[in-house]
Amino acid sequence: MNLLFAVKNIIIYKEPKNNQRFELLEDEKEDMEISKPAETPEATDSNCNSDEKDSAGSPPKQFKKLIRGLIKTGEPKDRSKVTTDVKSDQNKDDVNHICKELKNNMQKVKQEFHVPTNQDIVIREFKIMQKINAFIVYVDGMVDKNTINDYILRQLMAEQKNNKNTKISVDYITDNLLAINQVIRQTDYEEIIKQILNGLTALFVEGNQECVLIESRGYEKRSVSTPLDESVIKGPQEAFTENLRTNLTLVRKIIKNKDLVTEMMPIGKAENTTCAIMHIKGITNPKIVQEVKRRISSIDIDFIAGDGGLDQLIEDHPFSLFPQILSTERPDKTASFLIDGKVAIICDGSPYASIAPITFFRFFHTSEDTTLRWQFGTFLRLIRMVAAFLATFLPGLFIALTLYHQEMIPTELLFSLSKARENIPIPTILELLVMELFFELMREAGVRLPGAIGQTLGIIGAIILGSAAVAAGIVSPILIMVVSITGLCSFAIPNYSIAFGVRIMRFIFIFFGAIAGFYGIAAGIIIFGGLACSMKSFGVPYFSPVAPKTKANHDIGIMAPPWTLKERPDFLNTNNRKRTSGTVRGWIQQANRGNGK
Amino acid sequence: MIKEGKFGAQEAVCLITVTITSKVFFSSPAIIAGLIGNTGWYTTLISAAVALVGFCFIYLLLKRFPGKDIVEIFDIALGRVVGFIFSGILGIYMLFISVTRVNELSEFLKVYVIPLSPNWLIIGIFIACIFTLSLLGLESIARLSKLLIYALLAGFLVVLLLGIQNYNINNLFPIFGYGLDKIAFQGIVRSSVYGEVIILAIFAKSFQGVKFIKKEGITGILLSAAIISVSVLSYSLTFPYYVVQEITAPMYAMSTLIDYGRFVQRVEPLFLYVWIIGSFISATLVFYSFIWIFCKTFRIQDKKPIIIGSCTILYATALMHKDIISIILGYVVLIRNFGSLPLFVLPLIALIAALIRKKGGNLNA
Amino acid sequence: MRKVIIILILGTFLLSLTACYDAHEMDDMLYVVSIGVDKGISDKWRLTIQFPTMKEGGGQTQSGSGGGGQSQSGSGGDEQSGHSYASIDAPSFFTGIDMLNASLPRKLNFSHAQIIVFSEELAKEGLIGEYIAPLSRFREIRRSAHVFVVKGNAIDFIKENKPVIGTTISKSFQVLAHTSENIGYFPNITLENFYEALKSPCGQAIAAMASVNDSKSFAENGEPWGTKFKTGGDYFAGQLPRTGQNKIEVWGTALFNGDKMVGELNGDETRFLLMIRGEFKQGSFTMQDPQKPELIIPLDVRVSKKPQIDIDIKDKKPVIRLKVQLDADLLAVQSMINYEQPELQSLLEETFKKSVEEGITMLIKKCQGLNTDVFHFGDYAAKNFLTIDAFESYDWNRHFKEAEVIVDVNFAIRRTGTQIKSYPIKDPIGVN
Repeated sequence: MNLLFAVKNIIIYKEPKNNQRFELLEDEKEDMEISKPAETPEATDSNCNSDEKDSAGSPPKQFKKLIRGLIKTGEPKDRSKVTTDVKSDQNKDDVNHICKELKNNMQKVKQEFHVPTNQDIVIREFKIMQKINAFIVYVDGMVDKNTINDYILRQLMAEQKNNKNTKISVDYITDNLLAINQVIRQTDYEEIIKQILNGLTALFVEGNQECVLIESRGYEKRSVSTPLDESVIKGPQEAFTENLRTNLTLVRKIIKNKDLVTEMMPIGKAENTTCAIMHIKGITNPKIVQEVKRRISSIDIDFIAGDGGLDQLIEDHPFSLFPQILSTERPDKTASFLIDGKVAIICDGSPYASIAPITFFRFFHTSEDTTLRWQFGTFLRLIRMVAAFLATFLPGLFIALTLYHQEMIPTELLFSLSKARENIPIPTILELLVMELFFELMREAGVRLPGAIGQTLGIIGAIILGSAAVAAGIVSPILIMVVSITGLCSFAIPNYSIAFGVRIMRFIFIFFGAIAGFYGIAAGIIIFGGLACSMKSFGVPYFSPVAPKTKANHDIGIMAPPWTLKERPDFLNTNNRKRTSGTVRGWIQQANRGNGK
Repeated sequence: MIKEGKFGAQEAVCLITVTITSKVFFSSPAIIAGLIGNTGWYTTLISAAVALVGFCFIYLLLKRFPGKDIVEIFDIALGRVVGFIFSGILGIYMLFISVTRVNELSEFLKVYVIPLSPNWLIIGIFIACIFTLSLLGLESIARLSKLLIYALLAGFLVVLLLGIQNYNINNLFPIFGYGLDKIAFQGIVRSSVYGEVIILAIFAKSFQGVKFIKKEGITGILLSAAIISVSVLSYSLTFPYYVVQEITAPMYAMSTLIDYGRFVQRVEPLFLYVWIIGSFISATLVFYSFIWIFCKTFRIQDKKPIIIGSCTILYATALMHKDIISIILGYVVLIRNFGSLPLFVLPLIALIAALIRKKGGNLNA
Repeated sequence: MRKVIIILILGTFLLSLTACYDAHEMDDMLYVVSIGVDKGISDKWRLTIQFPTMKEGGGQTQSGSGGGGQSQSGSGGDEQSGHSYASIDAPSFFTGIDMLNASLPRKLNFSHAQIIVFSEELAKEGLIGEYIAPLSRFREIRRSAHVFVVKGNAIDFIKENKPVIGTTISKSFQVLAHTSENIGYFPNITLENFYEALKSPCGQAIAAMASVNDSKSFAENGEPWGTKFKTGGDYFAGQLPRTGQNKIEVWGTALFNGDKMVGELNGDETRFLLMIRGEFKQGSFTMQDPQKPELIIPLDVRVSKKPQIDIDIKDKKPVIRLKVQLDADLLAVQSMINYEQPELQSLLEETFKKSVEEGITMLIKKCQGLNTDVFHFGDYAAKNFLTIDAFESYDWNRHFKEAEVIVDVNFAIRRTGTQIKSYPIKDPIGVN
């Protein structure tokens, strides 16, 4: 059915949809944020609370069609399969609002949370100051019991000699009684329920139409550990964990800048996951931030699996083999991207930060390049580029060379290859595909096995099974070399997603090479190069700063000495271009001034 | 009306350079060696000078009508009917150039590299690439050429440098070839080699302004003149004039002669990639300019169905030729000898017409 | 949109998967290493090819018999060294290949052909032009293959072409260029050089001379030589008095006029030829000791600068000024006379310089007698003409024999090895 549809789509002429692509163009520098009416308002509140606690921005509940601007050809089928009811709270004010009577509130809460069937929710009734009825609601396991015991219940239950009222207002409680660092007052049931599920405790007091949400989160979480797949030798060894607050803290420890802004946004219509968007106000182009928020807020799906799912939903080109959003689990890398003018999206429950917009060359940089001296950084980058090149092209080139262009091989090498191939029953391309498949299977199997066994299996399997295959006369030894070098080089690529892209491209180039030799590979380079060049990642062309040429940022292939990087990358159109006000190394100027009279 | 992306000066220069210089890899060097001997390396400089003059006229025309591209200028300056005819001629000529490019590359590959593959396969792969790139738009082509030009230039220079062992300065003498008159004539006539600079005029809306077009055009012509001159010089140094007339592709033959010791030999794969990729980009660009002119002339908004149809036309036309000689001595000679007419003379006529009819341009041209 | 593109592209390629036209497995091909061309008896060409058999060292030896006869194809050779040869009489090169495929199972691939061998008979009859035509147009044969003219039959030469060291025959000819540079007794001529020179209006072609040496010149018994002076380079190919396992040798030059072989040079003359052409790099010369003529002094001679050639045309007669610059290291002084002193050193230099000048002048006269300008002086003469038409109408090759040649050799001994003084050896005591 789908195939028929696709074929029909090809043959029948359709009017092109007027799809607005998001383009990051250079225009007048704007220092103030652009206020767009229909979007989420920038939460620049002027209260003395830190502006990270912005959780209360309500997602736009509009009845217009979902904005399909981020999808080029309208295929939103999978995104809107699950539509949740969009309740706008303007109409249902009375149902959502808290009543004054405690009983009604309790009943509502029990109903919403399916108590007593749902045993995760605890409702604790007590009397405030031994007189006024109240109850708290919390999710067992997500709260810190000490907070509840010592700082809520004890404080509230304590007898206040001088206050003899029978009624009490929430103001009084929050001002005088609760020794908690963060409290919010809320009237809207939806919000309350959401926050309870986040781990806050809701306090309902008799006679009040407001409830107090008390910060009491204390669930089990992994402690900060070393990064799993981005380890470096010389550099910080902290990595993100699954807890959002911890992750944000880790970034904040590195960038102690008052302009570092975290905006929290819920994802999806059911609003189960929160994500934080970090950017530095004054540096990041506000259009990028806006675009990110626009895309995230318009996602309509019930569940998103961490930030990998989020990446795919907000990417410009989901069908491309190259990722347009970079995932990193290191806070120092995130910090350097933020300083450049990029936006970091961290999802709750995922130990990765997604960075947007990103260009192709950034996938090959690691934080080790910056912490080492620049010569070594250059060396490492060159090795990585060679590795990426070999990992993509080596099998394809080998096939093209041995099948079509035997005259290009040096004579002795050709003869020894031929001799080795004399007894092999299967054609070269089949040999190569079998070995590649074998290698991929071993990689996948090695991932499942625990720890040391996995690595050992990889090595032993490769060596023994490979040698056994050669001895049995199924493959020739040169092929084992080719496949293992390719595999080794693909491990040298720093970023996991692009390494995957490279792995798949390898097969494509094997195919092209087997069809038409070097001509096929050149055609493949053109086609995939063209497809990659047409990509834009959040408005920034994918191959900046090489194509198109923007102001020289020497940081692509080689690592420039750090004192020469005086400006931020030009293609991000940041507000504040210069990173320094003059010379970076002031001591040189001082020395010169000292010398020259 | 049809939106087309914007791109900058360096990309335009790369586009022009790659398009113009990929001509030198094929058989036309052999043909001109028959006409002017071993003096090609400075004859081409004469052609570049003539092309610069022609480009000046194009630039003046564009300056007179700022912000418009050449199809619209033809319309305004010459009236609907004549403008239509001129644009049509230019468009058909662009299609002819791309057919020739496709054929040259496929014949060359069949002779030297993959002799047993059928024509339709080689041309089919080529057309598939052109199709993909045309669908992606001019911006992508420009960015791709900018990205790849570093590798192309590097490979090219390496082969030129490695060939030094075969250079013999005496091959350049006698210095005036078959006579100065022939040199001058061929130099002027073959300015069509640099004629693709008119692409800057066709896509004038995608650049940032007429001043940029002037800079990009002049830089492009000069850069490609340098590269073509150096390549012609290198194979003139390697082969004397009586041998080079016989060879199907002199530059490829030059690269097969490289032989240092036991290992550094057989380096033509390097050159092969430079060729093929250069031809791909240039044929795509010329084809895309045909599509563009076509759409602009007939005021068609959507390019996709035109691209599909034109690719089919290109494929059919490319398979039409009988043999390689009809390409080398037929199509290519035709383009070289008469190419300057649509490329330089038509805009000149338009400029004169615009001056006479006092159209456009309140800037004192 | 991307789906459409991908589907279309994959569709195109799927169609082509029906057969990969040019894909040949490496073991589907037979790689020819040497090509030999003779005049055939049963047909126009006698084509001989030599190829490696891809066997791992030890294999069974087959005795291949190849006697004379009608259209024969014999294959044999030493399979223990991993190569073999085949020969066939055929009307043309390509037909011969097809006919050979009747007995050799794999497709012949010439892209690794290292040497092309013509027989002297073929060359002397002026037939090389015809026989070289298919070789130059064929895309597989690379123009960097070496060209030899062989005394006797090419088929004998190829039969005897066995690797003495190692098992691959391809290695031996790949270092040929370096050998020529190091000793200078034969020129390094590739197919490209040969072909260009055949068509050139500026000079004539040469090829390296090769032969099978059947050790006849190596006298096992006989009178020892005595003290007569011989330079060691004045043999022709095939006449070197040597023996050993390897039977073939490359020595000397074949001179061509047009495409007809008109003469041959011995080793010494080849060295002078290479000096004039600018291709001589290094070699050891033996000269007579000027003070003790029965002893010799060997010198390691190098070219310090490329030769300077100036040509003037004075009413149709060319005047050639040739300047050759040579350097040398002193290798041995048999007489232990202290030639390292400046006065005696200049004596040595003068003697050697004269002998070189004589040699060059005699060589040029010989070539003028044969009416062939193998030195390519015409290249330099072209500077005197402005257009190709003028040059071709002058026709340099015809005027070469009237040329007047002025030879000037600059020679200096630079270093004397690890000894700076020769102290005489004591005469044996007690003996008259």
